Amino acid sequence: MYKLFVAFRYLTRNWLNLVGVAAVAIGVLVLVCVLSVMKGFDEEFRNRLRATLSDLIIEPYSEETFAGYEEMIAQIEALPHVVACAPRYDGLALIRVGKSRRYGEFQGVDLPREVKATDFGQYWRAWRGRAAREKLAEIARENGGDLAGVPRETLLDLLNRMRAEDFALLPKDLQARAARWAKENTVDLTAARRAAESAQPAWTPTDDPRFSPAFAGSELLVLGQSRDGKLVSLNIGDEVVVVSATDVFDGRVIRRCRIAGAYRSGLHDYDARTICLPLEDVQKFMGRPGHVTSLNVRLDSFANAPKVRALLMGILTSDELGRGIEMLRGIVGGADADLRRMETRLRELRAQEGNWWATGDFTVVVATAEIETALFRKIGAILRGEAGVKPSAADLEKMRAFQKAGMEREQGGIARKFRISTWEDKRRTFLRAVWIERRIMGFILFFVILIAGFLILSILHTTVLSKTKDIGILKSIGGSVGGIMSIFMLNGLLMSTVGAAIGAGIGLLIIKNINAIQDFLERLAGFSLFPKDVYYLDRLPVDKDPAMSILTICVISILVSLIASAYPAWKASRMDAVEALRYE
Amino acid sequence: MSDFLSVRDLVREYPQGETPLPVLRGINLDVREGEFLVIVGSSGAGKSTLLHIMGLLDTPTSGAVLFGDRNLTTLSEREQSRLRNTLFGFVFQFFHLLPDFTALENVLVPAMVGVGPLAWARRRKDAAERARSLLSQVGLSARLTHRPGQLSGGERQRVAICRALINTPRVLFLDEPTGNLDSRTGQEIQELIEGLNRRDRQTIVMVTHSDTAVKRASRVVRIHDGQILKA
Ligand SMILES: Nc1ncnc2c1ncn2[C@@H]1O[C@H](COP(=O)(O)OP(=O)(O)O)[C@@H](O)[C@H]1O
Ligand SMILES: [Mg+2]
Repeated sequence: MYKLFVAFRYLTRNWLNLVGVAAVAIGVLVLVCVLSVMKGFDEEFRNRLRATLSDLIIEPYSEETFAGYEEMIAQIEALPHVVACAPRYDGLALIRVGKSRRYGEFQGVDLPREVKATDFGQYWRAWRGRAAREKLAEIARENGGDLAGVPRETLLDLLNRMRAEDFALLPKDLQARAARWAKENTVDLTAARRAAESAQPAWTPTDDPRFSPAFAGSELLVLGQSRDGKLVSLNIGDEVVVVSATDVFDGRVIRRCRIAGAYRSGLHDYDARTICLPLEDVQKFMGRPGHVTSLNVRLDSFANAPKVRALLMGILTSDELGRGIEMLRGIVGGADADLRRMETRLRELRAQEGNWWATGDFTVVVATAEIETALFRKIGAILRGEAGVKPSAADLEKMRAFQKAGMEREQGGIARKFRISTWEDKRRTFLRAVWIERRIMGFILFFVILIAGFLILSILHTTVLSKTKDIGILKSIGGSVGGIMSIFMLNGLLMSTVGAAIGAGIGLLIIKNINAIQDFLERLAGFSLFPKDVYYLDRLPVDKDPAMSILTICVISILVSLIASAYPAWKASRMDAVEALRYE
Repeated sequence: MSDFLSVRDLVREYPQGETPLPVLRGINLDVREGEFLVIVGSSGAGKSTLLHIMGLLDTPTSGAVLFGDRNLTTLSEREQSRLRNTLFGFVFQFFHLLPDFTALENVLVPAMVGVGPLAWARRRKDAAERARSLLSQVGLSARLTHRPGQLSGGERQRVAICRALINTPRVLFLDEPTGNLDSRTGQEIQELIEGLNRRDRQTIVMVTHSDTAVKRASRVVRIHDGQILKA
């Protein structure tokens, strides 16, 4: 008990110790805040990158398109974990907007199914809500903050397009004013919001058969900037021309479209280059009715992607392969060379699966097929009695069952002749960049903790030097070498624990109130620290569930400090008590 | 052989160039239970060194410290620390109180040694009670929450004595306890120590230059040139 007592007293009675506490607190604070914002950005960035990709994307290997997709969709939707499946007809395109030409992509989508299988509908709604929000703010400004003079229809239309989230993002005073206006004019805001939330994108039909309705990415519509700085863009009903570049060698296919709406995913490349048309129109003008280029499959959770992919391809998952190998090991023994080879390959495969960013999607599938082949060949050999082992009847039964299950899986593979990627596979390079960046940032930030560690080391060293006499006294009243060592280790531990707790606490307060802090700073600085047009975000994103990362940061900083305390503490424990006690 | 504390053929040398410097050369001494043993000798004779070795603060080059029939010099460091805590009490010439702790806390620290936080929570009250009563016996009831820096030399030495007594040691070692005090205060401390021996039968081993102490001692040994001269 004296150790804790003495260590705690040193902490509170020594201003240097308090400096150590502050150092750890600042280190932890910086780490908590920076990592939290970075993680928030990452989440945001992942969503952006994903744009309208669903969990699994099924494409043919070599042909551009395939037919018979309706049956496939029905089969796929019957699989476990599958929520929805939507067909698409994508192609490279030249797009003429106004007088300029852009290269990009056209996407033939089946809207009702598309909104179920991808986030397409979300971007549509978000975009409409944002436009409505901005428009309302503009109107309020023009009218000097007063909404009374604005025509009822205009306001109603704007409010009807706003979801609860959009409404909450309005400036506080505007929210209050809009609410007051709604009350005075007996408009039910909740009903309006519900309507906005359930609004789905819809093609505005064009009566002219020469045109298709089209949704354009928000950036695609921007033609340029006028001299007074305003953006000039296309509007609903304007014409764009889509030229299929995919079939440029077979003769150009041209389709004229009218803008029926726009969407914004936040991924610039996507929003600037993509134009969506009704699937049937695309099939017709490409001359391939009943054909699509890909199927998009949404799952209940992305974590189930490997499982569903294995089902679709008719191959076993790595877990199932592992079970098969385990079974064989019980029959032929662990020393079997074939088995050893399979185990090695499986281990490599598992490492790859955990590191999709480092290897590649398809190597995983190829490796799985390879192990599977080897496994079944081995089972076949044993069953034919060529392997030189005499399995028991029960083992034979087990192997036959495994073989049968494998065969059934293979035959049940709905998309055996297709390439199946996850959305992460599709965006591998970007995701990898983000991942590496985050690692590097974490590594750099770790130095902050390291510096705090060094500070603790030197502070403790100074403390030890100034407490030589105390060490002698403590030994004379029964303190052992271990006891003295613990006192200074505890001193370091207290410094880092108290510091980490303070830092984590303040950090948590900051990230929970990041928006208020941002507002305050912006008012102070007089300009937007976080321009919407640069980031497409209204708010600094933060990690919504920071408990785990805060805990990690605290544990690491405490560990580092503990390591830093070890040397001074050891030094202290070796001090000669007699020497310290001999003199004044 | 004594059945209390004794030292046998104690040698202590300090490494110094080629030939080590001998400070104690073959000391044999028996301390009897309940006696007031005074050690005298000129400065640098090795008195403090002997006291430190007997109190397990220092290790001899050769020879043994015995308690009953146990050889204390061969015990582990942990075991020796435990004995320093429970068996012995130390009082030094320069008081040696912990400057960051109050008088009461200084007295209490030895009682905490080797006690876990939970056990301490249970025992704290009794220990504090005992510390308070010790301090009030030496007339310091009004000084409990003062730090050493706020106390006079005599007061500090009283606190140090209380600290040495808190775990009811079998032997109390005092190394020139009045050496750093003016004669009147020294006299008071001297009487306090004598009282401990007379009233409580506290075994005392004291190094001193004070003549009065020599007169009141039950036995006096003189150390000269690292050896004991029979008085
Ligand atoms: N660390 C040391 N190295 C060398 N000599 C020492 C050391 N410590 C003490 N001495 C010597 O040991 C001798 C005895 O010291 P000490 O026991 O303190 O004497 P006393 O208490 O009788 O005055 C002195 O001559 C002193 O110089
Ligand atoms: Mg001395």
